[in-house]
Amino acid sequence: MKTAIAEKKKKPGIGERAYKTLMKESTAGFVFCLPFILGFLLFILIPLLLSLYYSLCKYNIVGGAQFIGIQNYLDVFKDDKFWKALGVTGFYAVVSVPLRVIFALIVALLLVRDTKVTPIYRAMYYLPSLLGASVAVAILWKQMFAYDGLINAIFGLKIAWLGETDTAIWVLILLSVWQFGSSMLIFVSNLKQIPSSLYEAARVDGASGIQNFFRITLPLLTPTIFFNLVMQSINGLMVFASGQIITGGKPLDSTLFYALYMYNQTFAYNNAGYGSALGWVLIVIVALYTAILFKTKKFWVYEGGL
Amino acid sequence: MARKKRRKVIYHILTMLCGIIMIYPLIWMVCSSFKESGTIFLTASELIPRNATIENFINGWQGFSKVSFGVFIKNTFVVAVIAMALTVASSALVAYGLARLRFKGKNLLFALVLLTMMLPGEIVMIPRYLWFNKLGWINTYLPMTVPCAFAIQGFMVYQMKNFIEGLPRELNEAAKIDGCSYYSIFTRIILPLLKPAMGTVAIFSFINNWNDYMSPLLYLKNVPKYTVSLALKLFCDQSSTSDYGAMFAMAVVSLIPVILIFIFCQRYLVEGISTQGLKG
Amino acid sequence: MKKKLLSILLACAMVCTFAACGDSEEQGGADKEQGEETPDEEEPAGDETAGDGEAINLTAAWWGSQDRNDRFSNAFDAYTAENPNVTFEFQINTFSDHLTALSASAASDTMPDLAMLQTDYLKTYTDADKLLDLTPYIESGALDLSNVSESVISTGEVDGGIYGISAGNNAAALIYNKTLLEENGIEIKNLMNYEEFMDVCRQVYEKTGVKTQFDNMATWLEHLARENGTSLFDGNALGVESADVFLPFYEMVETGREEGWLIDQGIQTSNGTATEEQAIINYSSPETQSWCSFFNSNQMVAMQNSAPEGVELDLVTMPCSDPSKAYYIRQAMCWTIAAGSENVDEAVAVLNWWINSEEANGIILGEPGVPASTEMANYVAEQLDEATAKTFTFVTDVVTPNSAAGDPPAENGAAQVRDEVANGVCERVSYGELSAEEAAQEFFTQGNEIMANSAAAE
Repeated sequence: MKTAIAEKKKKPGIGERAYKTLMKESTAGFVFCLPFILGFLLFILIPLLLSLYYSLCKYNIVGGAQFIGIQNYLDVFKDDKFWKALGVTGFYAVVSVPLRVIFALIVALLLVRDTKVTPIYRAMYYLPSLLGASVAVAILWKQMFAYDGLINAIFGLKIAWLGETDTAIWVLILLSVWQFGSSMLIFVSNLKQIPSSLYEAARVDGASGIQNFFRITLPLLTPTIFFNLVMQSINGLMVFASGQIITGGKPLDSTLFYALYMYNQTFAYNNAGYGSALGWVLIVIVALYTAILFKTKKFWVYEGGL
Repeated sequence: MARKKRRKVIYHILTMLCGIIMIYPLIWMVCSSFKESGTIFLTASELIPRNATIENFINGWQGFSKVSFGVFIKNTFVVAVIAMALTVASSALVAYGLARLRFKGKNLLFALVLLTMMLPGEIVMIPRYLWFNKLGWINTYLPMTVPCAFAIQGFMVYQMKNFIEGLPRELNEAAKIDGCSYYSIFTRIILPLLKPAMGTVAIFSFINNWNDYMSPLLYLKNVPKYTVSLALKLFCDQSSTSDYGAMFAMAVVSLIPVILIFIFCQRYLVEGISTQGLKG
Repeated sequence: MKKKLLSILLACAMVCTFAACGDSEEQGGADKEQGEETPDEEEPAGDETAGDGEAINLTAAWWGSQDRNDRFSNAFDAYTAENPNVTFEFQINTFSDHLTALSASAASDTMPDLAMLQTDYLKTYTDADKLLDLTPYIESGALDLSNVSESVISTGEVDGGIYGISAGNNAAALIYNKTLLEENGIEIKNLMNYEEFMDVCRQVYEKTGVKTQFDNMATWLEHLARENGTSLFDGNALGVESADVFLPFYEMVETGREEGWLIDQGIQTSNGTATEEQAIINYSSPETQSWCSFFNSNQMVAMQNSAPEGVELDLVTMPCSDPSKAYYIRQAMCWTIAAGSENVDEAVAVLNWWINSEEANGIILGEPGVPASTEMANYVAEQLDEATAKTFTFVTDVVTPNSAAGDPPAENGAAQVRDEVANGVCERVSYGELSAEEAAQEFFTQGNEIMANSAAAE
């Protein structure tokens, strides 16, 4: 190999220089990231800029766009439904995300030990998440909580779960919590990596199981918990499918998710300009929210964790 | 000893019981798909169908306007597999670049990767649609596959990057001393070790695409090209009669590939998930 | 060295040729798509090879049930059988998805040649010049509307052009559980007013405990506006001068709530909006049952098909004080042709065949309503099942003599007012959140606001 390089050195040329440049770390890094750079420009940046433009227009998708300045944004803040949707979505995210993470952690603790049947258990707990936000699951959920549905039949209740403003949102939260599988898998894989020497040392010191959990396991998991919180809350703020298929935002807009309202404005009512403005407001909210989460990070996330 | 054994039994019973509660809705769906379509909701609380029938499967499989449901499954499968392969390949490249190489603008790029995770999909939906229309891609599977070749799903890149960062750096150094270029380090050292993470990303990507609903709705303009999720919704039109029996039956059928993949790749899912927290 | 070069090449190939990679996928994808179409079409190669204007492929888009999908695609296939050079592709979705897909198609100028549309949305599309004005084709006789009545044609008329032809005539109806009423000796008739209707509601509630459910809210309000001598929408505002016009309807809902015969709104909402989920046929106790339902006449067929055994449904006019002013024949759906269609003449020929041929109508059999052509309506009438026959009689014998012409298609925003505002406000009355007066005012204010906002879009 060395001789080959030496040979090349003898007659430097364009090819040689190009080769050398290509070999440099900075070039290589750029080359490896090229797909993303192109993809970001083509499929994210350009559409984003377009949507920013549309957010400044009256635009009904079907016809052309007409520039109207920041009128859409002014309308957004005067729009009662915007505030309603924001409140609903915020509540949903604030309740469902921690619940989801807690469930995922508890189940992960149960399933971390390796017995012969553990893979089956993991499959059982992960299966609901595999289905994602598919149409079938949404309809299944809707029928389970129907007045004559499965839940009322089993528990002998007479509650119109999806018809009361107090209960409808909880049905959707439950659906979200039910699908805690991917967080669970992340926790399982991390729990497995905690060195057993730590626990042994703790046992020598006479620590109990609960003490172990709070002194060793939990601190080491905080980075993962943090990551899960960030990702899940972002997903929570963007929740769409369950609201669209199960409740359609009813009753009395108590399940009118932000993304659903945005979608309705854009496609059902042909106000795509206004819909884009709603989208940009959401982007800002998500960015702010994420920034705040990151700010709190140093207070409770153990940097040496997994 | 006996106490330990008792605890073990309690553990198994408890885990099993909760597990069954978790998948009870799915069991219910499977059982319902064998009930006569009209009786599904009348007998919602009964699990075992009174008159088991495969009529729902026959009806559902017929599909719509002479296009069999098998066509929808095949379409979805083709799209999901292509998209999966492209996502895995492109995400691996970018993840390696971001995890191991130093170059100008790297931090900015990583920030952009994170940004793609925070974008609500609905906002780029229309502009992207118009853009793909300019490219003449409407009514093809290209809008659902080609972007996957460009690693724009931040989550996938992020998972892989974390995984690569968890691999021992010494391997890199050793290879460099042996005269390996950054490219051959990738193909010879990183790629083989990356398999578990690639498995994870592959599964996530496949499932996402399998369940995707909005893209097919916008981009596919005739029935023979429809995907499963689009077809499933056709069974229950709001303005007319729905065939829930057929819908559940076909939903069960469409779940089979996803479940099979999960069972065979579970090992990867646990091993391949990032071992690092969010250290952006 | 070789290995090294090889690995460089490999990595570079992976990275640098990604664009090309996309392209090759593209071809792969395109090939596959064509492969997939082949088994489903009679003449798969036709549209590619002939290219002499002989082989024509048209796309038709609609929404609906499996039953409709089968009938429509069979009808189109029958056309292909007669004209082997014309093949069809179908774009089928559920109702709301149909609108999403169609507006996307309009934005990208890939509108299906033939599309079914609700008249409320006509204006949005004609404003953007996406639909074909059919007037010249009607004048030339290519589209023969000699058997279609003026008032039906006029509902597809926008700014002097004709853009939509009824896919089936319907009328708003009160669909009721005939079995239940007969068993309890409660009488019901056509052309009831609000008081007579409420009497029936009370009787049913007293004798059986069965409740009353309101639906089709926008139509109640529209009828009130028409009785008042205006239309619900007028340009970029509501057609009425004062919120009081809407008051009678909300008062009725409020009365029902106070007297207990109104169905629990929670149950209504959790049932959903699909036809077979309605409380008239989907119930487990008097508490959850409604004796009536307000839908378009053609939807009674779907309801009857999902009704419990032994329950017979029938239909009468919706209560109103002056049916001859309020009522009109409704084109729930109309067929439109895309302005950008490359095969306009053939699309018009298909539409003409759809409206006037015994063959097409013999397959469709009035599924979306009474055929627009009176001749076809008579032809089909003899072949109908019982439930469909009832809806036909209702439209032709009851509503037609007691109705006025329909209003022209409304401006942008009308769909939002009908869907979001009309339903939302009535929901709030049923939940007891608004009084009748507040509700009428709320509808009046919000409706006007939305219409005014949509106006600026042009």
